[in-house]
Amino acid sequence: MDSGLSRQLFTRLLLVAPVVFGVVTLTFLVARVFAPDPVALYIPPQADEELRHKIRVELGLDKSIPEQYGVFLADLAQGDLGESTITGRPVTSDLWDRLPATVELAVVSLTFAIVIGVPLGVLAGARRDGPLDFSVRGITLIGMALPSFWLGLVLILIFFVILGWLPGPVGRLPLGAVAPEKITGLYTLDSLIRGDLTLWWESVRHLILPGLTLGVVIVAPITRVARASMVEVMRSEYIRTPKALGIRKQVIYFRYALKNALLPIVTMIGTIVGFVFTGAVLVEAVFNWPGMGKYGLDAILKSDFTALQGFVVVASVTYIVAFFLVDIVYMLIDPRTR
Amino acid sequence: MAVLVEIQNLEGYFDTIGGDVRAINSVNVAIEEGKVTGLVGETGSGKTMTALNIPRLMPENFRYVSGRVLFRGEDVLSWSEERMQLFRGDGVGIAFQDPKAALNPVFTVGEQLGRALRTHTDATKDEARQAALRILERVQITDPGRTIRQYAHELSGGMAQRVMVALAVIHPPTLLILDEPTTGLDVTVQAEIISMLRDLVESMGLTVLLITHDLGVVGELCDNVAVMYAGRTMEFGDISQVFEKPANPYTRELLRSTESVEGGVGDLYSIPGAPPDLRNLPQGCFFQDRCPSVADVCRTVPPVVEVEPGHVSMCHFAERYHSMPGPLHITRGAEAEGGQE
Repeated sequence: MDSGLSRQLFTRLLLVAPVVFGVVTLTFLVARVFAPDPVALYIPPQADEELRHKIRVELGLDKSIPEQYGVFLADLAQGDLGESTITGRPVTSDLWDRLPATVELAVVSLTFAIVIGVPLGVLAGARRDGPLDFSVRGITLIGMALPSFWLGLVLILIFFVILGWLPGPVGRLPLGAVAPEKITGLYTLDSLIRGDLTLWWESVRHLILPGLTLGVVIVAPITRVARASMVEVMRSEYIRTPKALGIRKQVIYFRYALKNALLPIVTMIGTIVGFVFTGAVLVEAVFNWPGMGKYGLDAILKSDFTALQGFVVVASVTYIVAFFLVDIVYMLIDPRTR
Repeated sequence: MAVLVEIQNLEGYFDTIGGDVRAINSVNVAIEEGKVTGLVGETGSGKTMTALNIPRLMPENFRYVSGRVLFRGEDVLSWSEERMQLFRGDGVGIAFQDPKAALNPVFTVGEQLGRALRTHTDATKDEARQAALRILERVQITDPGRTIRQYAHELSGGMAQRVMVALAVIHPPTLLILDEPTTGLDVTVQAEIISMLRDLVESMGLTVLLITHDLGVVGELCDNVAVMYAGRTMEFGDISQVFEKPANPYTRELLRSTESVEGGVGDLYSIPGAPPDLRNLPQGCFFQDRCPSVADVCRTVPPVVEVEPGHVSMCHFAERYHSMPGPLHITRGAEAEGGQE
């Protein structure tokens, strides 16, 4: 890595810190100031004031907002996001347990979307207004308009109810199956390491429908961005040059043009990485997938403010990390940004 | 000498929302093998568009009306796209105008040169690298080992032009098109580029079509010259014929304006008026509104007159102009008489 690149990276890292701090502060304020009184969750409505006060003290809510903020920050600095009101466990452990499920779903859906979406967008954009371009534009438009939960239900109907090829929406493994002993938490990997091929096959089968559903949801925006970016690049003079040199079309599209068209595509993928890690709530809900998005949804439904606060912090940091990675990719692609 | 490329009666227009833009109207040029042919004219006269017909790189909205582009007697306009792809870079290569925009911003000079060579030969990556270093040396880049690792934005204007030329000739094409190779460069760099091109063309024995608006560059490099105006070749011949005994009023006016710049005395002369609107061309001769000797007959399309072997002019009065004293005498005479004609 040359010195210009590492200096740029360092500058960007310095910028990440205040952004994280701002997000954390905002989350705290929203959860403490605007959320309903959490004490009500612990006690019956007819409880007396004494009990009410006792719980307030227990939760640290008797202190002033700035004091609470100080405690919150101090805890956060040690990786402590507080305890969930509902599960009674540290929020960090809850989220940590759910991360592998989310990672599996994210890897499958992103791979699907990138492998299909980028080449399709490149070819459509390179041959603008051709038959492929018309199909791609039409199909992606429909893809963007389809609600993800509806798509999930339709796929369940076809592949589980009618054809019976794939399991229903029961989560990561068949009901009653025992998860492989935790190594990475990724069932598809852990079962392989343990040498349990039956379990591996089950975990793969359970991953297909949710992965496909989420993949279809995110393939449309990736394809459209790739297409639009290619259309722009194909007009450039530096694309006419390799044409004039007789260089093969495939090389021009997928090497000379794509590398120039990559910046908007990478930005879109960065946004989507943030989304699949924390925002795939509907897909996770439909398939009973115990991922992070579903954790956030449950926290909202049950007014679990500590869990929600922890979820929002993690979600924001995920986005910040994704965009930081996008910045790094930018610098690797485009020498002008170094 | 054998004729390598012959453009015959080429005519075409751009199909635009605002109407047809008639960019090419009767172009006739013969490019002789082993010679440098100039294509000269004002901006918008259709020089680049004419040249782009040879590798068939016209914008998508270009429509042909008539004409042939013969390469060794075969009409390239009738070739399949597959054959064209093999032809490009091998039969014909181009060093584009504005090289900084024509070079890919995210690939190194070395990568682009190597790919250009390996497209047409079986060279390995390492052989291509060696060839890239050699060709950069031939376009007189001082530190090829450094340039090969650089990106377009790191190059000066003169360097980018040299790299552009290197890209076009690393696999030497039968015909090399140079599009405005000196435009936008400092005068000293221009002179260096011209001398580099002269050496390169001589040592590689290239056939060249050189596009420029600068008659000085034509005089320095060309054997033959075609003068273009509003998409027509007004005059064509070898440069001594055209420069010394121009048979077209437009060529005369062009030479006169150039001389007044190079002579550096008195007021700069420029041709009065402006070129016609390509959406709305006049009947007959396109130069009629600016011509000093316009007559009624000029409302009809002028004939292509061969005033001497190999010297043609598209003008009703071609013979009369051809027999007049050369433009040198006109301007010098005018100076002596107080700066007016």
